Amino acid sequence: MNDVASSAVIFRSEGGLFAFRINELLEIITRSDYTFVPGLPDCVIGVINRMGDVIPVIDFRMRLGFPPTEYGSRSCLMVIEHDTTVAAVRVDEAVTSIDLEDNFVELGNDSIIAGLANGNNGERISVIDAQKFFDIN
Amino acid sequence: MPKFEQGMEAMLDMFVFETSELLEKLDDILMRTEESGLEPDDIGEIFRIMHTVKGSAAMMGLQNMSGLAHSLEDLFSLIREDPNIKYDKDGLYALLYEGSDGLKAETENLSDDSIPLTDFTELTARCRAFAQVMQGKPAEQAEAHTASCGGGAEIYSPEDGDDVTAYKVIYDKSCLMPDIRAMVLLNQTKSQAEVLATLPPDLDADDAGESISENGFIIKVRTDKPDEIEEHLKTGINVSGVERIVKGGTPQTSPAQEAPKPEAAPSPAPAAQTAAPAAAPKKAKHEDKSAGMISVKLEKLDRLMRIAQELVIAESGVLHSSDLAPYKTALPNFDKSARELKKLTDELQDMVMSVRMVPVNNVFSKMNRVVRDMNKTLGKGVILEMVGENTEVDKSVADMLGDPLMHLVRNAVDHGIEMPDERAAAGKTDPPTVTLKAFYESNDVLVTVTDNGAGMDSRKLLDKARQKGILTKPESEYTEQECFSLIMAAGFSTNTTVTEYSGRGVGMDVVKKNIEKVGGSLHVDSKLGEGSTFTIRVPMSLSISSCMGIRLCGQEYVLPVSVLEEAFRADPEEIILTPDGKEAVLKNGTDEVLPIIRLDDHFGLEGGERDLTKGIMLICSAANERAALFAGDIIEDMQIVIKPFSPYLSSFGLKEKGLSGTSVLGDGSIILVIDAGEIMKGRDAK
Repeated sequence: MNDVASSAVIFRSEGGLFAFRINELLEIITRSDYTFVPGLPDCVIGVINRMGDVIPVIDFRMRLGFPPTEYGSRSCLMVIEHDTTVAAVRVDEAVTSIDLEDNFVELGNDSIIAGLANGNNGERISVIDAQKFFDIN
Repeated sequence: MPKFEQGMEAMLDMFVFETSELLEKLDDILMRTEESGLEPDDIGEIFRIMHTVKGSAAMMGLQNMSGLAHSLEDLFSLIREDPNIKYDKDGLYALLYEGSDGLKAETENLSDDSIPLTDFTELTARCRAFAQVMQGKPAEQAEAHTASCGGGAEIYSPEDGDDVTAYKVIYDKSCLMPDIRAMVLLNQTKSQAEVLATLPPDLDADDAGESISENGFIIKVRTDKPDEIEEHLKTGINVSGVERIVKGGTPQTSPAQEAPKPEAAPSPAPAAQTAAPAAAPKKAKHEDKSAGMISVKLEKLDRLMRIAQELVIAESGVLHSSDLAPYKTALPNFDKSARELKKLTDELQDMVMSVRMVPVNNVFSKMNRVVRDMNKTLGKGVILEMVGENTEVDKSVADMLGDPLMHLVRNAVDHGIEMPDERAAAGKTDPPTVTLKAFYESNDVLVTVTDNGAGMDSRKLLDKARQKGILTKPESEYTEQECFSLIMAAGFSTNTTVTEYSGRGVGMDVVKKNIEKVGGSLHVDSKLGEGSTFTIRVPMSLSISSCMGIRLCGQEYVLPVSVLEEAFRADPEEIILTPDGKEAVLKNGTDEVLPIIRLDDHFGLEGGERDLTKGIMLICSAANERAALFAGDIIEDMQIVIKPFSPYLSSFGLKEKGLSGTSVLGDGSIILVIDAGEIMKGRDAK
């Protein structure tokens, strides 16, 4: 785990705290409109135009198997890139970032959650494995 | 080990591009003049082409190419100087074609280090011999011209002190562009000593090269290490000797350490010597007509186009910003500037699109050569005519047209046009002709290849197709049109003997597939005894498609117009419900019954228009499938840039579900493109 970033960006979804590694985050878009595309898996709720590229929008909650809900005004899209795949992930709220140095326990299973870290106030944060997150099929 | 001089890698692209273009031009001229004879302008043009190729090849250190170009240039310098000179015209053209082909092949293979440099010595020698014969001299008279020694002392002026030394640098006779070499040498020397004067004084002058090869290059420097400078000068490329000029005395010659390069061309014949001086002074007057043109990499244009698109989107974001809403009516100056900006961005977009457009002429003119070569071997004397060669298409379309056209022209000459005796027997008096024609039809470009040859016999085609087992329905159901289309089926070739040019078995089906790949189509028409016409239809620009906007459940989609035959609102009596519960519609005004596919249902959408008589029937046909797609409403037709889905999105199987891509509209919103062919295919599978 030497080649991955030592920081992660925390976001809130479904009442819990999760994080993407900071090197995988391209930007955070506060816009919330997207274009629906029929025939996509349920959790891929549509596509957006990001600087001329059409990228999918993945609903974080639904990707984890929770039912869809209304989003509040703090909801945003986190644009994540892994290898060459780029997608926007819809979350409830982007919170802050944390240091993963000496603060990361790898789970080592097949789950979307790569490991756990402690937040600045001791909360438990689940760090997402972007590759597994994108692997929807 | 690269083939060309080190440090020239950066120039390779330019060299290949420029040289291929020049050689293409040479072919054009040759083709045009082979029958009619050479006009003085043509001779001058060929001369200039060879001169430029020679020069740039020498720059690249490609001695073989520049030697060959040189010998060809010499031939034309003779013809140019004496318009009444007698020569064997066929022989000359054969040499020119061979030379042009050799140079072309060499240029193409340059970047491939695994292919060795071609040895043109034999061909070059033949050109020289030809020149000798033209001059009425026996070929053996070739004799190396020895460099003139001595002289040059006049460069010293009386006030020059003991620290001033002059050198005379003598270049190999085979050295091309000695003026450039001298320039390089001069610049290097400047770093070591103070250069006071040179002879010739101006290396940029047209006759500098000539003067240097005749009298050597004289350079006067102020230095206290005259021996070092002399040693340095000897290391110059192609330098055969350096003399130190003694004030008022005779020069002391010392041979250069470096022997002349082995690959250098053999000593030029006297013809070469007399040719070069005549060439140089006139060069400046005949500036290339294409001056003022530049060539740009296509990817740069693509980026420019993308930026222009982004600009329009950003513009729309600014002009329609929600922050402006409160002041909507109170912004007269803003509105005025906004209109100005909109006008400019629109113009910019049009301009960027037009930059990519090139006339099909570039592709057409290549066919001259194809026909000419085939005439030589087949003896059919086919004339190639061109109509509408100035029709402009997107560069990518022009590039894509080359191969199919070549194939169709070959087919037309080989299979289409009869042998002269057959033509005579059929009572045909008009000359055998293949016509290339290009014109616009809506947003498509149509390119036709027409021959006035034998035409095709639909029954023979059908027989053949039956033997090959490629019929897909009962013979009696084939219309004449469908019979002709059989030649585009895989594994169909009508000529029983394989010739040099066609009949390799892979043929029309590959051509057809390649055209279809870019959204085009190939159509065949023929009349027995009168000839055949092949029509290629491609979008004017591969990046822009004409689409019909439709609405499904409140969301907009587009359908490429290329698959759409007709759109209409069905009357209640035209809707047919089959006993097994399937819906069909009677095509407007005909008795044709087409199955209905509800797009809402197909995409699993809810809340759309259910009443078949209220929505719109879109009659679509693609790849032998026809159906009426039912949509809620049509909006308008639009010109859009279709982008395929990213690999990640494609992995969700959108293509199979009937969506071929997306398009980002002017305001930044996304619209989905429907693939009717896929939807109709999917219906059959169910």
